[in-house]
Amino acid sequence: MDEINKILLVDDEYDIALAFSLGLQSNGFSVDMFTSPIEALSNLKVNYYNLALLDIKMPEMDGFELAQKIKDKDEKIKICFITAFDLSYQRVKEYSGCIIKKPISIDDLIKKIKMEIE
Amino acid sequence: MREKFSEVNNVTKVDTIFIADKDDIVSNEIVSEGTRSFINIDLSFREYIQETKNTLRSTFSDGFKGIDTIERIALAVPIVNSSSGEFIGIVGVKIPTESFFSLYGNIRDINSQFLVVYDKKGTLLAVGADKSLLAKNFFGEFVQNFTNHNPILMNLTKNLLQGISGYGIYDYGKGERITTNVPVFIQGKPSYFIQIVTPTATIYSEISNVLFGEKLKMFSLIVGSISAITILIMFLIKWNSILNNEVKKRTKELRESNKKLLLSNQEIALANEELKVHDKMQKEFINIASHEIKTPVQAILSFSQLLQIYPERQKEFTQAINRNSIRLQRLSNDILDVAKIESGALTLNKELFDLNEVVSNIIGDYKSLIVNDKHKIKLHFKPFKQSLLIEADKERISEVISNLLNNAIKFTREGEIFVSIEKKEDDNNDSYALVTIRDTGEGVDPEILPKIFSKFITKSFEGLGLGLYISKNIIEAHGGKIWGENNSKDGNCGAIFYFKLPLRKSDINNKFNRYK
Repeated sequence: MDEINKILLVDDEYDIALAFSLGLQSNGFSVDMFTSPIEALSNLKVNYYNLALLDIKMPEMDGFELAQKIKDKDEKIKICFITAFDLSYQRVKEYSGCIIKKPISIDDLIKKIKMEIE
Repeated sequence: MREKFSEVNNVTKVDTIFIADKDDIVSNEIVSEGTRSFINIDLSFREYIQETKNTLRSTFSDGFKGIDTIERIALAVPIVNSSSGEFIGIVGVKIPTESFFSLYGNIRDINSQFLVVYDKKGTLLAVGADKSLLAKNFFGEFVQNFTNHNPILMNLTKNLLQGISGYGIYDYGKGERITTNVPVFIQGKPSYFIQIVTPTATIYSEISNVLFGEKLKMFSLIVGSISAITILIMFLIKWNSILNNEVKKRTKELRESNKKLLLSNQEIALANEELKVHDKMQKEFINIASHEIKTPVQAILSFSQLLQIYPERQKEFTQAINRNSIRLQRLSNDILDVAKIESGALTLNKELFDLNEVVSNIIGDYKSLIVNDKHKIKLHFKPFKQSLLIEADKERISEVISNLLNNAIKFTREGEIFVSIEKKEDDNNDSYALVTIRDTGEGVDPEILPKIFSKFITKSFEGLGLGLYISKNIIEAHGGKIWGENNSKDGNCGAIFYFKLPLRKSDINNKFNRYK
């Protein structure tokens, strides 16, 4: 049975969040999208998502802090960071080995996320 | 140093003055003619050098004999860094003992009292009896044979070397002698040991003076020896002070050169620090710039792909593409501007225009933008009552105003922004236009306020922190000034930015009508 993959998407850039969200939805994902880490946390559905796709550079708190707070509530959730930074963050490994670098085409994004979920 | 050398040679004969570095290597030296030079020689095996180093106090050496067979003593004074207490080196002199001690008594005339001087080991530094005894050790065979192993003299000398005064009467075959012990204490330690020897025959020859004379002789002996010793000590103290002055001079020079070194070290450290900061800023800039460029590129890339999937949302997506293209354009303009500023290629296309009118137009544009925007901001403009002619690059000045307005809007979100133009005069009676942009936002972080016009300084999560840097360069290229502050008066909040531009001197208002 094909289960629908559910994605939590947090990016403070509205255009990016919207574009990724629509791209994922058109490929059969269910997406909850937030442009604020705090909002994302207060609306977090625990043990619901397969994967959280998080921007790193955000106001209020960065992606790493957000990842930690999500993991505190939902141990099983997979984390993928998505960033326009050039650096390969050592800290990424603390939460997941998954880092997606912007800019990325929608097709490549879908491929990466499917690989990560499986 | 040469001056000191001749100065001390007026006091007594000194054949060497030297300075040794902290590793006991002789670095500077002056020697009298015919005396062996020790320059670059390691003195560390000398006991008095070790003692000076270990105690950091001036030290008088035992006697030592050079290859020239001259017996000498040395006086060594440590050079110490007064602030750190660190040992830096030693200043010392070498004194031929025979000529030195002969100053304090007759050591040749056997018919009267004479001096014998020993060091701590019992070596004869000066002796009146026979020159062949000089530099020999009292306890050695040569001296003992000379004195016929006289037990009284032996005892007396042993006592003397332990610092005990006293006298003895003995005869070792050359007539009866009466000998007085006088140890010389330097810095509380017995350092040199003097015996004043008088043949009793000279006393007995005046036997008619009987007991009284005897007593007088003894008395004069003691007084004589005490005064000799006092003079000796005074000389040594004088020595010490001469050397101390040399040390002080040397220490002062060292301190000064240390200070210079320290200063130049600090300068180098500072320059290094600046370089590091600059390097870090460059790296950070590249990182942030890459982030800022890739973000709109990502949006453009995604929305152009989404257009094919959701053709019905064409209008929304093209607007998003447009929005991000403008952002990308602004970014590349900023980077190009900075490149122009840094290479000195910022050129101004000056024209004559009314500043009131240009600002008013920009405000108009922003007002219509704000209506569509999520920000809840009221924008107020108070122009100057007349037209204000300036000769400037209209586009560049507009860029500055837009920059300041963008910042005000970005950091205010909800509130009011007041823009005003005034005409003022400076101390030279030159007129200038003052543009003020005041907001009611969060204000500028006090930490970054002093460097707000530098490159890459931003607290925003969007942008490169180049706007104010570019604005400052534009205003200054026009001979103007730009500055900013936080509005903390009367419980207000927000930031105020000002810039002023010189006005045309003569024909203000001639061509332009009153501003409406």
